[in-house]
Parts: sequence; structure tokens; C-alpha cells
Amino acid sequence: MAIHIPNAPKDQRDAVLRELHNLYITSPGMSTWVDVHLILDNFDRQFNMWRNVARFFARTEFVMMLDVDFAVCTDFRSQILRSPAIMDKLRRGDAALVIPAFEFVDQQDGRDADTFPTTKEVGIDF
Amino acid sequence: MIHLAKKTEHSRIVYEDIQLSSTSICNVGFCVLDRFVFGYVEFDEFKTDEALEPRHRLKFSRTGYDLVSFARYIWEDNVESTTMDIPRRWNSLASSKPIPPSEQPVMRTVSVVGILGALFGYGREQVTTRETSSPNLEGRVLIGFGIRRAGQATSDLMFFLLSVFLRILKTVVLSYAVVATVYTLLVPLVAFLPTHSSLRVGVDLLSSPSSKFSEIKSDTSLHSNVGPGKLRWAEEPVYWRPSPSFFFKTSPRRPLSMTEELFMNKAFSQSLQPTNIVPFYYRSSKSSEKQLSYEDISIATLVTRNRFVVLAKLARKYQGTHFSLSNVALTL
Repeated sequence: MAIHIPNAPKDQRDAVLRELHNLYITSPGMSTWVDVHLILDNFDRQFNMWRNVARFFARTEFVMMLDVDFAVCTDFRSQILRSPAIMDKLRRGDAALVIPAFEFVDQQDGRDADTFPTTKEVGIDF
Repeated sequence: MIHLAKKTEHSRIVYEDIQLSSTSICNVGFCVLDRFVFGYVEFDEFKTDEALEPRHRLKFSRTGYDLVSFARYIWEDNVESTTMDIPRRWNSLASSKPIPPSEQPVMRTVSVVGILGALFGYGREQVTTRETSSPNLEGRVLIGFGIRRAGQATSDLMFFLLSVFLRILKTVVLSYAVVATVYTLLVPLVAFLPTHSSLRVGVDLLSSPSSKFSEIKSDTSLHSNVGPGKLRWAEEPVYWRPSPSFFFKTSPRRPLSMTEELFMNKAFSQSLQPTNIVPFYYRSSKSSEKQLSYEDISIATLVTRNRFVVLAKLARKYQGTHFSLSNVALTL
């Protein structure tokens, strides 16, 4: 995770860092699986630069771009890693995988990720 | 001794019996370029009075080089005794009368040769004789010459060094031209090299167990040292191995070292500056245990500050099952 934090004002910066710290130590998933890289400057909306920092320091060969409000329903990671055909494409370096996504019409249905469909058949039925 | 013999013979013009003993002022300039000697001699006054004693020596009030011995030295193998041959193409000009206007350009050319001789040259002298101008004063002589130096002349150390220096200079200039041409041709090709491999350099560097990041920042990952003022990592050395180059097969095999600050500036040189990147401010505990496979999938996402909770859900829900690592860019 690359975090861009405005360097000034200092109070706001430190407040964000404290909040991040609390999040990191109170969320087991965070401290177990998330690397945090800081970007401290006063330039806003440098999205590509922030992505590049995260990608640059990613310790895996492959990176998936995901909107944070998306929930991952299936274990596509294992499926990809198990599939020689897909892995060959990725290793060649000239392929990008597009993961299909869906959206709830009623926003209330999207509150609990545990109720989300995990198969294509169920998803089509929505 | 200079004895200018006047006779026309093939392509050469030689002047004979010009007695220089009464010359009052003589400007001399000459230089050595490669195997050629360029120079000029200017006599303000001279005589052609045949009644004078022949073969008067030209007297130099020497401040440097003796023209006579120089001339003898240069033309030792080319001239007979005291006769100085002056090739026509180097504009010998001698006149017993005032120089006619038609010959002025020639004289100017000669002067240029002389100026070059003075600038580049071996020496420039103003020569005077003890005798003052005589009633037989008849005109002015300006001689420019360029002549091939005799093969044996290289025994003179200065000539030899000058010759070597000029050859080296020529070689350097030619080499520079060749290198510049090749480089100019190669630059557009290098620009098209893929940058993917260079990005992987950072991955190799940072995922290696010996990386300084794994040693230092895993210790500080859960400390509450918020505030970048306490971070001095930018001055620490970074060791990294360049990826193989498409063109230059002999790229260095051993790791390069530079400060972290320089490394970051190079890696993100296209970004707005100044910026301060602190990699691995927190380092995940699982990945520190080398449970990560190199061929795995990370997630990168953008998240605003008020979506921190969602981010925590994402990380918790898929821990160890779907994702080994989350890389999230966060905007505030």
C-alpha cells in the first residue's frame, strides 16, 4: 500500500499517520498482509505516481488494479496460479487479465460481503 | 645565411643576389603543422645594389630562434648550400619596386600565413640589423612560404613534439566525431527499450532477504514513530543489480550502490518534485516470513481516508486465501 499524505499542514499529516497506525495495528489482516509505503509531498491527484510506487515496491511479479469498493468474491488468485495457460500469458508480459465484475442495483444488497454470490451461475441469476 | 638566388626554374621562383645586409627591420613568423612549415619573412628595406659585397650575412638580434639556422635546418636536404627555394604556390613575393596593387591580394594571403605562423607557431621575432636604412632603399619584400620539411628534421625535439601533438589532436577530434555519431544513432534505439525489466530491479532488490528494508523496517513496523522527521532512511545505501541491457551485454554484474534518496529520485524522476517516498513504512508480517511466492498476485487500489474501514475489510477478508499482499494507494 502506498500512501500519499500531504506534507503540510503538519498537524493534519500527523493525524492521518496516527489514524493509519491505529488501523494497521488493530486490523489483523492489515499488519499481516499489507505493506505500507509513504509518499509525503503536497501534490494532489498524482494517481499514476502513487500506483507506480505501490507497483514498484510490490514484492510479487503480478499486480492487480482494484477499486477499493470492489469485493473479491472468488478465489481467482489460486485459479490463475494453477492454470498453466494463464500463467504462460502472464509470464510473456504482453497480456492483461480482465476480471468480470457486477454491481447491485439496490445499494442495500451490497452491505454484507458474505452474502455475495461466489459462482457465475448465481451471479447471472441476479 | 640566406642567399636569395633569382632564377626561374620550372615551378619555382628564386631570387638571386638580393643582399639583405642593409635590412633595417625584419618580421619573422613561422609555424610547423604536421610535416609542413609555414611562415613568412618581411623585410622593410633591402638593396639590390650589386656593388655590395656578396653573401653578406643577415644579422639577427636574436630573441629566440635564428632564422638562418632554422631555414638551413628545414631545407637542409632540399636546397643547395645557401640557396632558399620558395615554391610558387606559397606566394613568394619580392619586389624591387613598390608593390603593385595587383599583387596586394597575394601579399594579404601571405600575411595570413604569417599571422597563422605567429599564432600557432614556433616563434615570432622582430629582427633588426645594426645598419640603418641606406640610400639604396628600393622597396619591401614579403615572403610567405610553406614547404615540406625534410625527413631528417625530426631530430629536433620541438618539431617532433609539435608533430606528435598535432597528430594526437587530430586523432582525438576524429575519435570524438565517430563516437558522437554512433551515440547519436544509438540514443533513439535505447529510448525504445522496455522499462518493465528495469522496474523488476526494484522488486528483486526489496524482496531479497539481505535487503536493508527487511532488516530495518520490519523492526519499526509497529512502532509509533509517526512523523517523517524521525526518518533518516533516505541517507542509507541501497544496493541493486541492473537488469541486462538489450544493447550493452556487458552491463555490470555486481550490485550498484547509491543512497536511497538518489535511488528514489532516479526511479520516480518523472514525478512532480520534490517528493519524499518512504518505502515499507509498515511491512507485513507474513511477507517477512518469506511466505510470499515471487510469482504471486498483489492488489493495488486507491482509497480515500474515509474508506479506511473498507480497506481493513478487504485485507482481513482475504488474508492468506486470496491475496498474499495488498498494495493500496491512498488519497486523502
